[in-house]
Amino acid sequence: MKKFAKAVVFCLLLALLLALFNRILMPDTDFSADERGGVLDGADYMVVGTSNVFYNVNPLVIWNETGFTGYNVSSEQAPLIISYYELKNEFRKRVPKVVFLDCGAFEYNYGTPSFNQLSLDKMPFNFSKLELIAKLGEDDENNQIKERNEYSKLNYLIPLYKFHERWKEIFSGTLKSRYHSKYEHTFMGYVAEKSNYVYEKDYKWLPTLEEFGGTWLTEISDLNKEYLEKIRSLCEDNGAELVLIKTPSKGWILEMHDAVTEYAKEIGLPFFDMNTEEALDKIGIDENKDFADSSSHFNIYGAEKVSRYLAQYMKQYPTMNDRRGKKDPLETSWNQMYQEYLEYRET
Amino acid sequence: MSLVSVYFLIFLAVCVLVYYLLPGKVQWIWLLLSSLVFYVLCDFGLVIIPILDALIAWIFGNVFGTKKKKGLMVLAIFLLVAVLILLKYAGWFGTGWTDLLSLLGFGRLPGYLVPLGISYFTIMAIAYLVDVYRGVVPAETSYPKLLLFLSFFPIITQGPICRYKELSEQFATGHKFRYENLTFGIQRMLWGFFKKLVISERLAVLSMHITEGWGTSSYSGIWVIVSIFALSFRLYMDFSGCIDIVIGVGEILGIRLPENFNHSYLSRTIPEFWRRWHITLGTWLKDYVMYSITMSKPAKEFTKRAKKGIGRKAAATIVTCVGILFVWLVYALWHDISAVFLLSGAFFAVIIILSTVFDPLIRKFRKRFSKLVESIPYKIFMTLRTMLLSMMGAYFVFMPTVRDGAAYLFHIGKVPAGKITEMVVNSDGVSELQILGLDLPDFLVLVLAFILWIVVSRLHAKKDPRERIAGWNIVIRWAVLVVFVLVVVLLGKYGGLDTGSFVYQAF
Repeated sequence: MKKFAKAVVFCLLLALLLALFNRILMPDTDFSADERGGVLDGADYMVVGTSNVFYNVNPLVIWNETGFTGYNVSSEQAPLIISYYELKNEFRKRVPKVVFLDCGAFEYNYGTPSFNQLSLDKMPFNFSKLELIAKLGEDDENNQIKERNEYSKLNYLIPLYKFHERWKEIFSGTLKSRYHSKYEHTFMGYVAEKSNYVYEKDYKWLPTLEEFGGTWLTEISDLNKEYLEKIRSLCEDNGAELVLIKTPSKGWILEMHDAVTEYAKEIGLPFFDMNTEEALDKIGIDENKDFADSSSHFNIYGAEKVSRYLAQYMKQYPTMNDRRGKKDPLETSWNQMYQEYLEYRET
Repeated sequence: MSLVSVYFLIFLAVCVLVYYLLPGKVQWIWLLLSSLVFYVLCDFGLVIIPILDALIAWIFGNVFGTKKKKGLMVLAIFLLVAVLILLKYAGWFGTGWTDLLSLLGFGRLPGYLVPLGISYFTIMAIAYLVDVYRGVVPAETSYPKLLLFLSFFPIITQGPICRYKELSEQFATGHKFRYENLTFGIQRMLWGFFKKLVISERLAVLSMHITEGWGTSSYSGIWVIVSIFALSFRLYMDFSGCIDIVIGVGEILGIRLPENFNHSYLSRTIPEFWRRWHITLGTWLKDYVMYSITMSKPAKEFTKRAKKGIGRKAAATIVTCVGILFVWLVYALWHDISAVFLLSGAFFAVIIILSTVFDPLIRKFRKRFSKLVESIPYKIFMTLRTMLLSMMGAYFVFMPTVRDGAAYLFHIGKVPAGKITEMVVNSDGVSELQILGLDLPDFLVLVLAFILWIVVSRLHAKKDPRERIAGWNIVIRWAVLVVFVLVVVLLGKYGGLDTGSFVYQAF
C-alpha cells in the first residue's frame, strides 16, 4: 500500500512538471482584448469570426464614432464550430448586448488544423474545450484548405505534444516572444498592421466561385447551419441580439453572399454584407493603399474605413448606448486607449 | 498503432489493469483478446492472416503429434511460406494479383500489402512445427493458445522471435502483480523510448541524405563518414530501442522475453557480431536452417564418403559452409527479395565462410601471438574493424543501388570549403549541418545522448542499471527518473509524421 501511495505521489509530481513545461513551451498566440481596469464591463458588442474580423474591425475607431464599447473575439481562419466555443467561453465572463458574427467561415467546414491549433491554444482548459476537440473534424475534398497531413488531435489536447521542441528557442531568444510578430500591436482584439500590399491585377469584389478559382463551399453546409443555430440559441438564452455581417474580403464569393442573404431571411436574422457595390462605394477603399497582404486583409487605413462604416450600421441597434458625455466611468479609459492607438498610428 | 504512440500507452494501461484484476487461469485469454484488438487497431482486417497461419500450425502440429511424415512437414512449411510470399512479395506476381488483393481488402494504400508482423509470426510458426516434429515440444491442442503465441501483441511488430516452449509455459502459469515488474518494465520501456525518440530519430536526419539519395555536392566528405556511422547506429538504436520497449512490456505483464541485442558494436569478429545482433533471428537460422542442413541425411552421407578422400575435418567444413550459404540466403530472402539484400547476405556469408575455413590458421595465430592478441590496441583495432565491416553491410542495404553506394564512398575525400568549425556553426550563413537538417541544439543533444548511452551500456555490462537505481535513496531515485522522463518528452523527436514506425517493422 505504501508503495502505491508513493507511486501516486510520483505520478502527480511528474504530471505537475509536465504541465509546467507545457505552460513554458506553449507559444504566445493570444491577442484577445485586454480587459484590465474593467474596460469591458457591460460591453455593448462583440465581433466574432476569423482574420477578417481581427484585421478589419477596430473597436477603438468604433468607440470614437459611436461611443459603444466592445471587442473582437476571433482567430485565424476560425471555423464556425470554434467561434461557437469561443463565444461560449466569452459569455461565461460577460454577455454583450449585440453579437456581430462575420460569415467568412461559412465558406468551409472545419478549416486548417494548424490554424485551429492557434485558436485552441488560447482557450482555457475546460469541458467545453474537450468537447470541441472531440467534435473537430477535418475538411472534405471539396474544401480549399484541407491539410493533407494527418493531424493528431493530441496536439490540441496536449500542446506540449506539438511544441515540446521549442526548448531550442532558448538559444534564439524567441521562446517568450509572440508567436507571430504581427500580433505585436493589438487593440481590443484588433490586430493593427501597417504594411501595404498592392494587388497586381484588379480583382473583382464578390466574384463567382469560378472567377475566384478556389474550392469554397457555395451553400451553407449542414455543419455550419448546426453551429449557427447553436450560436443563435446561445445568444437568445443569454439575452444578446445576433447580427450576421460580412466585412469586405476579396475571398467572399457571390454564391455565398446569395446563400447567406436567403438563409438569413429564412431564419429571421439581419445580414449586413459590406461587399456589395453600394457598401464598397461608401467605404471608399483605396486598392493601392488600404491592404496589408495578398489575402485581402486590411492595414490600419483600410480597417479604419471599414470600422467607421460598420459603426454607422451599428447605430441602428438601440440596446447599445453611447457612453460619451454621460459621466460614464469608462469614457476616460476608452478615450485614452483611442489616443494610444492614434499614437501607434503616427509612429 | 505504433509502440511509440500515446495511444499505445493508453492501450497498454487498460490491458495491464484488467490483466492483473483477472485470475491467473484466464489471464491468457485476456492477452489473446488484447492481441487481436491490437492487431485490428494496427491493420484492420488483415488479422485474418495470423488467424489463418495459426490454424495451419495448429492442424499440422496436431497431426505431427501422432504421426511424423516428412511430406506433410514440407507441405506445412510450404503453406506458411506461400502465405508470406503471396502477401509480402505480392508485387512480384503482377498487377492482376495485387488488384485482386486490393479487392479482398488488402492494401488500402498502393504497395502496402504486408500484414503487420507477417515475417515474424511465419517463422515462429515454422519453428513451432519443426519443434513438434522433432519432438522438442508436444503439439498444442488448444487453438486459441497457439493463436496467442503467434499474435502476442508486444512481439508482433518487430520480434523478438520467440519459441513456443518459452512462451507457452509463461502464458499458462498466470502472473500475480509485482511492483518491481511494473517499475522495471516501465524503466526498460523508457530506455527504449530514449533510444528511439532522442537518438534514432536524430540519427535518421543525419543519414537521410544517404537513404533518400539527396546527392553529395554540397557536403564535405566527412559528412559521408558521419552519415554512414549514423545509418548503422540509427538501425541499431531504432531496432534495439523497440526491443527494449517490447521486453519492458513483457516484464510489466510478468512475461520474460528473450534479448535480441547484446552490445553488438563491441564485437571483435563478424561471427560474434551476428551472435550479438538480432540474436533471436540468428538462433532461429542456426536451429532451423543450419541444423536442418548439417544434420540432414545427404550431409551425413557426404561426410561419411568424403572422410576417406579429403578427411573428416575438411568434409565437416564443407558441410558447414553449405549450411552458412543457406543461412544467409534465407536471411536475405526473409528481409526482402532484392539485389542489395542478396549482396549483403553474400557479403557476410563470404566473411563467415572465410573465418570458418581459416579457423585453424587463426587459432594458430592467436596462440603464437597471444600477447598481441590480448593487448588493448589490438582489441580496439578488432572492434573497429568489425564495426566498419558490419556498417558496410548495412550501408549497401540502404543505398538505392550498389552503384550509388560506391559513388558516395568516393566522395569521402572532399575537403570542406571553409573552416572545419563552419561545418557545424556558421555565423554568416547556413552551416552544412543545417543543410543536412539538424540544427546545433539538436546536434548537441545527439552527442550528449550518445555519450549517455555509452555510459549506461558500460554500466549495464557490470550490473543492471535498474537495480542500481532501486538501491538509491528516494530523492535521488525520483530525481533521476523524473529528469529522464522529461528528457524523453522534451528532447524526443516526435509529433511529426514518420516517427511512429520502426525501420525493422518493414521486414
